[in-house]
Amino acid sequence: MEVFENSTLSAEHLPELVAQDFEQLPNRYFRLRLCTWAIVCGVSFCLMLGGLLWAVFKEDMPLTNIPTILWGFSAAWFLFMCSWGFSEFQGFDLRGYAVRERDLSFRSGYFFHTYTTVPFNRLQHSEISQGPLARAMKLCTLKIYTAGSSGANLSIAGMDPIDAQRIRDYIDEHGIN
Amino acid sequence: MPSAFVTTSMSMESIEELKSAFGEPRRQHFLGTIRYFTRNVNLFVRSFFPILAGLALSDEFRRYIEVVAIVLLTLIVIAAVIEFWRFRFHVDGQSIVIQKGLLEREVITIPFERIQALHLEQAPWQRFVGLTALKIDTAGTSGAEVDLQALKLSEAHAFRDGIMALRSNLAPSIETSEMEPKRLVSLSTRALLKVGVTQDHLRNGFIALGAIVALYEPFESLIDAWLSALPRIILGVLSWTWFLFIPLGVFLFLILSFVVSSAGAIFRYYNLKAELHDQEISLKAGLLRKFEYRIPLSKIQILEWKSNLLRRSLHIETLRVFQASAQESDTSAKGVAMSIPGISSEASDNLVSAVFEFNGDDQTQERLRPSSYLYCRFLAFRLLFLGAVVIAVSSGVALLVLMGCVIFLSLITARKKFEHYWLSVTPDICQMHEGWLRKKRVMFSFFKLQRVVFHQNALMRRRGLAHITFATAAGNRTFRFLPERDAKRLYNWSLMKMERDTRKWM
Repeated sequence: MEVFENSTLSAEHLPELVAQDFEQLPNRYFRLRLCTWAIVCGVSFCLMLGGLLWAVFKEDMPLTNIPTILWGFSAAWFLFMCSWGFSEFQGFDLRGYAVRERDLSFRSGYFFHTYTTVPFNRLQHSEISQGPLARAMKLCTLKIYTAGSSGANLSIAGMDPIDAQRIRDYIDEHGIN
Repeated sequence: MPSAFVTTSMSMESIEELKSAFGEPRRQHFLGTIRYFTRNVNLFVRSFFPILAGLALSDEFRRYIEVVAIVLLTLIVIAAVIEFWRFRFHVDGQSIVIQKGLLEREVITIPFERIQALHLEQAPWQRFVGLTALKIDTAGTSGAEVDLQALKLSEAHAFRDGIMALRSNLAPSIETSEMEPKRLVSLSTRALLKVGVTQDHLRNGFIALGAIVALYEPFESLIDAWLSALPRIILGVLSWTWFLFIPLGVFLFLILSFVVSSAGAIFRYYNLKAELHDQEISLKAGLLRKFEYRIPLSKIQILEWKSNLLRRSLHIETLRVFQASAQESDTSAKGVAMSIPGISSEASDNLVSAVFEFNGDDQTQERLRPSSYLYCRFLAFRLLFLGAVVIAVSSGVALLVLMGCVIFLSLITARKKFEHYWLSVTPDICQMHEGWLRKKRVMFSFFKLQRVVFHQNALMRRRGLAHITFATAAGNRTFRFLPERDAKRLYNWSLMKMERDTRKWM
C-alpha cells in the first residue's frame, strides 16, 4: 500500500483495464437490440408511408407536389436509422463488462464510447431486473447503485441471468466494505 | 485545558438531557400548526389554481364564495391540527423515531450515523414567537429527509447538540477533544457590503427581470388602461422616439440588478459567522430568515471556490461546501451545499488543511492540461456565433471592421479561456480550475470518489482525446478533452485510491 501511497502519478505501476479483460454479452442480446432497431424502423416507416398515402388519397395531394421539407425529413430519418443500425453492428463488440478483484467495469457505445468503473466498496445496493421481452430471451439487467446520484450508476443490460447472479454473489462475498 | 473540560462535560450533560427530554414520544410546539396550515393552503392553491381561476369567473360560484371559503379553510385547519397531532418524535436508543401521517400512518426511523447534518432555520414569524424549524439531512435514502416545524429554540439546540454528541460517541476513531473554533468568516457591516457589491449582478438581474415578466400579466389591463388614457399626441411622439428609451431601460436594468442582488446578499448573509471546529464547520446568518448549518468535516465531499473580477480585487471568494446528498438532482435542498461568501485565502487554506488530511510527505503536484484541440473548439464556437451576429447586423465596410474586431476578440478570449482550464493533481487531491474572468476552482480527494467514467466519441477517439468524469457522493465533476493517455492514468489512479485507501469516505 505504501508503495502506492508515495509514488507520483505513474501509469506503469497501476493495473490497467485492457480490452481482453472485457467479457462480451451473449449473442441473444445482439439479436434483441437488432429486433428493437427493426421494430422502430418498421413502425416509423409505416407511419410515414401511411401519412403520405393519406395525404395523396384523402387530401388529393398530387405526388409530384410533395414539399421539400418532407424529402429532407425522410432523408434525416434514413440517415438516422442507418447510423443507428451501423452503430449496433459495430458497437456490439465494444460492449462488455469486466469483473476484477475489487471493481466492476462496463463499456459501451460506438459513436459515444464510455467506460465506467465502480469499486465494490462504494456499492450501496444492486438490483437485477427483467422485462417481459428480456425474460422470454433469458436476459436481464444488472443495476449497481452508489451514493450521490439518483438512478442506477451502472446498469448492464442484456446479461445472462446466471452470470448476473454470479457477479452479485461475488459482490456479496467480497464487496461491501 | 479548562475549556476542553467544560465542553466535554457539557456534551455528557446534553446526552443525559437528550435522553430525559426526548426519550418519550412528544409533539412539537402547538404553533407548528401555523406552518402546516400555511403549507397546506399553499399546496391547495397551487394544485387547484386553474380550477379556482375558472370558478372565480362564474357568478353562480361567487354567490357562495364565502361559504365555500369557510368550509375549505375549516377543512385545512382541521387537517393541519390532525397533522400536528399525529406528528410525534422521540429518541430511541441510537436513532430518532418519527411517527406521522394525515391519512396513512408512517413511522420513520433515522439511525444517528445516517444523519448528515441538522440545520436550524428561523422564519420571521418563528423568531417572533421564539421557535425554530429543525431539518434533518440524511444521505442514501431519498425522501427520508424530515423537518420538525416548530421547536422552542433552547430545545432545538439541546436536541441538535445532544444528537451530535451522541453520534461522535458512536464513532470511536474520532477524537473528542475540542479545540477553540477557528474563525473562517465573520462578516462585519463593511465586509457584508463588500459581499453584496461583488455579487453576480447581471445574472441576478436577469432572474429579477424574469420574475417581473412573470408577474406582469395581472397588471396588463391596468397598464393598458393607463396607456389609453394618455393623450394621442404623447403616444404619437412615443411611437417615434421609443429608441431613446433603450439607454434608460439598460440603465434601469443595471440599477435594478445591482439593488436586487446586493439586497438579496445582505438579507441572506447578514451577520454571517462561519467557524471551523474540531470536527465540523458551522455557519450562521440571516436578517429575516435565520439559518444555522453544521456540517461534519468528514462528510464534506467537494469544495468549490468561485470568484469574479470584483471579488478578486477585494481578495475574497465564495466557497461552496458540498456534502453527500441523497439525490444529485436535489440541489434545491438547502442542506446539500453550504455557501460561505467573502472567504479570504488564509481562511480557505485553514479549511483545506482541516478537510483534506495530507498524509504522506509527497505532495508533488502535476499539472494536466487539455489538448489544444479544445482551444480550436473555443475559437470556432466564438467565431461562428459572433460572426453570425455581425453578418446579421452589418454590411460593407462596417462588416469588415467588425469582423476584424470579432476575430481579434475571439482569438484573445479563446486563448485565455483555454489557458485557465487545467487540472492540478497531487497523489491525494484533484483540483480543477476553469474560467478566466469568472474563476472556478473545485477540489476533492481521490479516495472519496464513488466511481469514474471515461468517455469519448468517435472523433475524439481518432484524435486520442477523452473526457473524464469523477462521481462523488455530492455530484459529478467532468474534465473535458484530456489527452487519452492522461485520462487513462487519472482513471486508473482514482480507482486505485478508491480501492486501496482505507479511510472512510463518509
